[in-house]
Amino acid sequence: MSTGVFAAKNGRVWEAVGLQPKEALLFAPAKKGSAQLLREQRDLMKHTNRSLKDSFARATKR
Amino acid sequence: MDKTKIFISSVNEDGLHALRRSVFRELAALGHEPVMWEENLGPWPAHVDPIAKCLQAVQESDIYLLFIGSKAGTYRTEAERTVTHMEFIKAHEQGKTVLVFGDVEVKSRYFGSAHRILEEYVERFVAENERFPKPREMMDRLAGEAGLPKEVDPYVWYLYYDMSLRKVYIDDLSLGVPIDWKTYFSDLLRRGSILLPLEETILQSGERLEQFDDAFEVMTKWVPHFRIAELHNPLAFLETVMSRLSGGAVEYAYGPYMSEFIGRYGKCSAATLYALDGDRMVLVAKTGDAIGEPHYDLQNGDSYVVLTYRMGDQAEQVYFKESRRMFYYSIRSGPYILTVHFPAGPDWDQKRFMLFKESVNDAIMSKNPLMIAFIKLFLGGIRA
Repeated sequence: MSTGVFAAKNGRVWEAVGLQPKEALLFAPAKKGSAQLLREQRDLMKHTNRSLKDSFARATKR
Repeated sequence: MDKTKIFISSVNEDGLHALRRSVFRELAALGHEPVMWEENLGPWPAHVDPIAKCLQAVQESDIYLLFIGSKAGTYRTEAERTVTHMEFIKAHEQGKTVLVFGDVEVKSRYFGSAHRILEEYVERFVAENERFPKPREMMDRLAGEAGLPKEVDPYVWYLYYDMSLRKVYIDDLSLGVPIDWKTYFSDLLRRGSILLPLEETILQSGERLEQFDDAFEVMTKWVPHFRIAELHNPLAFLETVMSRLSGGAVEYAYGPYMSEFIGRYGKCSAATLYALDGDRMVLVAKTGDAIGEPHYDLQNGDSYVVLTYRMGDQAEQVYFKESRRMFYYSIRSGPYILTVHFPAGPDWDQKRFMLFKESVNDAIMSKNPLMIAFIKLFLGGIRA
């Protein structure tokens, strides 16, 4: 079964299964990059702003 | 003038009947508009789904008031939740004011023992199965727990657990001891009165935030039209980057509200910048406690600098090395590789990294993605 984690050492890169040398560099390709995360944070900020406006409009309606 | 609509919710259990009736009457006498199934909500008309009707009423309410005793109520297999729990989730997700009162004995047993049992169970379950346990699995675990009172339905512990994850405060409910609703709602009015005058300030802050966001959008469109002559002070550049990257927590998220603490990473302790020169990556600058080899051959597959370069332009990757107990976050933009180092907390080892790789990637990459976007923009704009 694929672990989705890779190890690099002595010029070789392999899929890491089980215990690896402590000096090995481990890495796993990310499902979301920083650009995607930034887009999500910006979308959330806009959504929160809209929600605040709506809530205040409802709270101060007479 | 609109009245405050208050949805009264609880499981249909003997100990709560009298309380529900008296609360309904008292809230109505205080001038509010209470909504409760057996008084003014159901079960008519007959063709309407009663659950959908309750959830709709929660949505139309201003306040959701919940009483929790020792019974769970009707468990809906398809939703893996009880009806009362579904109402609570609806209210919470709709951003309603949620007021929860829990039987003082049950609440005390939850925070005294069930909470810890569930936390330990979830941690072990996630480590073994790489997924969050379903409510049914948590209930099965609690049903066999000798230290918990048998008269309390296991689902009640799960309901408390969900509330604690959502950081919902639970007031004490002592059956037979009346709740002073006048004082309670006066306090709620006081809290709202502190916030209402802030309307203008809060909305202005939101507008400023959108202006900054728009400025970022404009900058991302402009910068690619420029060629930057040189990075004449790379050390100052790296020091600024390093000072802006704090440490944080790695959490395993199961949904919008459910997450579990996995481990910590410290604030950025070093940063390096390498640039392509022929067939090797050459050190441009380093700061903090980075060793910073003078160069790496592109054939050297041991280095995160080379590995990230080989991944292609705009690539980024988080690495972990157990022997140094360090996370490295490398970012490529054009011929440059910028790497920032974060010390891993004492609990981190290979097994933990392999198990929670997604959470590590997410924690480190989502810390300051705006700055990462700027780094890529500006390094990518430097004339080759």
